[in-house]
Amino acid sequence: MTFIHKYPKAAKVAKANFIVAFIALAIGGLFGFVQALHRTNVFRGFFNSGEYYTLLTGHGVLLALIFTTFFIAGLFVWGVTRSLDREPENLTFTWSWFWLMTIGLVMATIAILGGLVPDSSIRAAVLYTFYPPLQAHPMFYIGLALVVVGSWMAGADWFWSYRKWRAENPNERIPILAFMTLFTMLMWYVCTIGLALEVVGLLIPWSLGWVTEIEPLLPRTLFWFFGHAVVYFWLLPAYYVWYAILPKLSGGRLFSDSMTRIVFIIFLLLSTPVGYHHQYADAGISVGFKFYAMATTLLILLPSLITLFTVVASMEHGARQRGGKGYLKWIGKLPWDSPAFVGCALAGIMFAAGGFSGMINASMNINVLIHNTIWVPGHFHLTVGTAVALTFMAITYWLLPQLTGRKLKYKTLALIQPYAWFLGMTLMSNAMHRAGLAGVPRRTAEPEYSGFDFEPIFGTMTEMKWQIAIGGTILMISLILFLWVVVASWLAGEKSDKPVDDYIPEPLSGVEHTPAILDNMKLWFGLALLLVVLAYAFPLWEMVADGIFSPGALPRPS
Amino acid sequence: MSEEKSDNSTKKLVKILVIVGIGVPVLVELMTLFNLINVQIFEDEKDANSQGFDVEDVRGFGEGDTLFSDQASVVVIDELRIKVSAQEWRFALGLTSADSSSQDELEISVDSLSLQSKKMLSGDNNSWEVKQSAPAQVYGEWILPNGDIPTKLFISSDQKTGKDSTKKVSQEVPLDKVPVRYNQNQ
Repeated sequence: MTFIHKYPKAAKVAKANFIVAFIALAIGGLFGFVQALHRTNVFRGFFNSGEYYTLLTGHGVLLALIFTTFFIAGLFVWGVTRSLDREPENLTFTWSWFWLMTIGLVMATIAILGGLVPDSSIRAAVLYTFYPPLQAHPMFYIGLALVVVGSWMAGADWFWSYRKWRAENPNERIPILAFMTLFTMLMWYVCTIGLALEVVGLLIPWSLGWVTEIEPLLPRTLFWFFGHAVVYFWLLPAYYVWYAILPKLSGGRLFSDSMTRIVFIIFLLLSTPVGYHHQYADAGISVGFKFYAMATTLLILLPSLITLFTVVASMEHGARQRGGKGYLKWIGKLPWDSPAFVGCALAGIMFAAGGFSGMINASMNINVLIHNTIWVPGHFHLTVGTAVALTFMAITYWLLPQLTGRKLKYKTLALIQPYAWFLGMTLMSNAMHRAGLAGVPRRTAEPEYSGFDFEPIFGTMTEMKWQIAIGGTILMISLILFLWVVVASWLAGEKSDKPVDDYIPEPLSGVEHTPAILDNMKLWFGLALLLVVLAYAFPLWEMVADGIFSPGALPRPS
Repeated sequence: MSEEKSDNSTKKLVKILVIVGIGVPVLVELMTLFNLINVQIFEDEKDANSQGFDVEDVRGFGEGDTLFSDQASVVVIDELRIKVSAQEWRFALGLTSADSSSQDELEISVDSLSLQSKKMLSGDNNSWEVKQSAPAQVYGEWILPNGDIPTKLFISSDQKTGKDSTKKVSQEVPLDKVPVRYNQNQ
C-alpha cells in the first residue's frame, strides 16, 4: 500500500497540481534556453530582441511563480494528508482553489504570450517583478491575483484539516510535515499582504485606466514586501524535503525535530522585514531603513546555517548506518546512485554557493558593485533555479510512484539528470557572476554599451558568453530528461502496491525533546506581524508624508 | 550473475557522473577562485586592465561624432540607434549640421548599410525627415532584418567647392556598437 491506495482523493489533487507545475516548467524552461542562446549571440533565429521581455516575463512568471506554487501545493497536499492521516475535508473546496489558481495561470499566460502575436493589444512584457513604470494588460494582474487568492484558499484548506485533526487529538504535538506546511503558509499570508495591496489597490486600477498616474516607489516597495519573502516561500518547501525526506533517502533519520521547528519559526519572523535590500539603489527610502533591512537579511543566514548543520548531520548519520567511517570518508557511502538523493544533495550544495553570493547582494556597500548586473540572475539561478527547482525535480522521483502507484522508469536517465543540472548550472551561473563583476547588465537582449568594452577581471567576454550558452544547453538537456522520465513513468510505469519505499523514520532527537512553545502558532504569527509593522510602518509613513499619493509633486522639504 | 553485472555497470556510471557532474564544477569554481586571488594579490590592477587593445583607437563612429570633418560642411551624428518593438527592428539615424548658423539644407544620402550578417542594405529608398532648419537637422529610419545590426554606413554629402559649384563626397563610416532600445509603444 502506498499513498494513492490510502488517500486516493488527495493523490488526485496532488497529481493535478503536479501536471500544471510540469507544463509550466517545460514552457518556462524552453524560454530560458532560448534567451540564453539569444543573449549570448550564439543563435538568434528564434525571436527578435523586441520580444525578449515577453520571453523573459514568461520564463520568470512560469517558473518562479507558477511551477513553484503548483508544485508546492501538490507537495503540501501530500504532506498534510499523510501526516494528519486524513483526506481533504471538503473536495469541492479543494478543487475550487485548484481551478481558481489554474484559471488565473491561464489568464496570466495568455497575457504574456500575447506579446508574441503581431499587433496584439494584450501584452505583459513587465517581467516577473511586475511594478510600474512597465504596464501589463489587466488580464495579467487579475490572473496573478486569482493565483494568489487560490493559494490562500489552499492554505485555509490545510488549516481546516489541522483544526479537525486537533479536535480529535488535543494533546498531540503537530506532526513535523504538517508543522512545516502550516508555518510556510503563515509566512505566505504575511508576505502576500504587500502583493495584494499592490495588485488590487494600484496595478489593476492603473491598467484599467481608472488611475492615470502612479508614483513608482510605492508599488515597488509593496512588491518587495512580498518579493523577497516569496523566495522563502519557494525555499521552505525545499527545506521541508531536506528535513523530512532527505535523511531517509540517505539511509538515516532526521537529526533534530526541534531544530527543524526553530528554523521554520525564524523564517516566519524574518522573511518579510528584509524586502528593502532589493531597494538599496532606490531614492525616497531613508538609508537607516535600508540598514535595518540589511541587518535582518544577514540574520536570516542563521536558520540556513542551522539547516546546513542539521541536514549534513542527518546525512552523516545515514552514511554511517550504511557503513561509512572517518571524518569525510563517510560521504562515499551516501547513495550516489539514487536520483532522488543525488538531486537533493546537489541542490543543497548549490544553495550554499548561492548563500555566499546572496551575502554580497545583502550587504549595502558591496551590493552597489553588482546591482542590476547579470550577477543577480546568476545568484538566483543557484537558489531558486537549483536549490528549489532541482530539489523539486529530485523528490518527484520519490513522490511520483506514491501518487501514481507506478514504479519509476528509465532510472539511468533519472540518475544522469541531476548531475547534468549541477554541471550546467555551475557553468552558466559561474559565468553570469563573473560577467556581473565586469558590469554586464541584466534584463536586456543587447547587453552592450556604445563606445565601451567590458573588462572582465580575468578571462574574456566571449569565453563567458560561450560558458553561459553551453551551461544553458546542458540545463535544457537535463530538463528534457526529467520530463521524459516523469511522463514515461506516469503513463507506462509498472503498477505496484509498493512502487517505492515511502517509510519516513522518526527523528533521532524527537518531538519529546521539543519545547511546546514552538507549536504556538498564534504567538509566532503575532510576532511576525509586529516585526513587519516595525520594518514597514515608518518608511511607508515617510512616503505618504513625501506625497506618494500625489505623483509629480515636489518632495517634502527636509 | 546478471544482477552483479548491472551493479557493476551502475557503479561505473556513478563514477563517471561524479567525475563529470561534480568534478568539473568543482574545478571551474577552484579556477575562478584562483584567478580572482591571483588578480587581486599578485597582479597589479593596472596591468590586468591594460591587457588587450586601447578601446579608443579602434572604436567606430557613434553618437556625438563628426562626419566629413575635413570638408566644408561638417555633420554631427546626434542619434544612432536601433529602435525595436515586437513587430519591427529599425535603424534610426539623426544628423545635424555642425555649423549652428547655417541655413543650408543638409544634402546627405545614405547609399548603403553593411550589416553584421554580411548583407548589404540599400539606403536610397529612404527620405529624410527635416527636424529643424537652423542648424539643419535631419532624421531617417531604415527597416532592418530582425536581429541584424549595421556595422558600416556608406554615406555621401554634397559639399560646396565654390559659390555655385558642389561636389559629391563619399565617406565610409564604420560604426561602433549601435545601442538597441526597446520601444514598447510601437
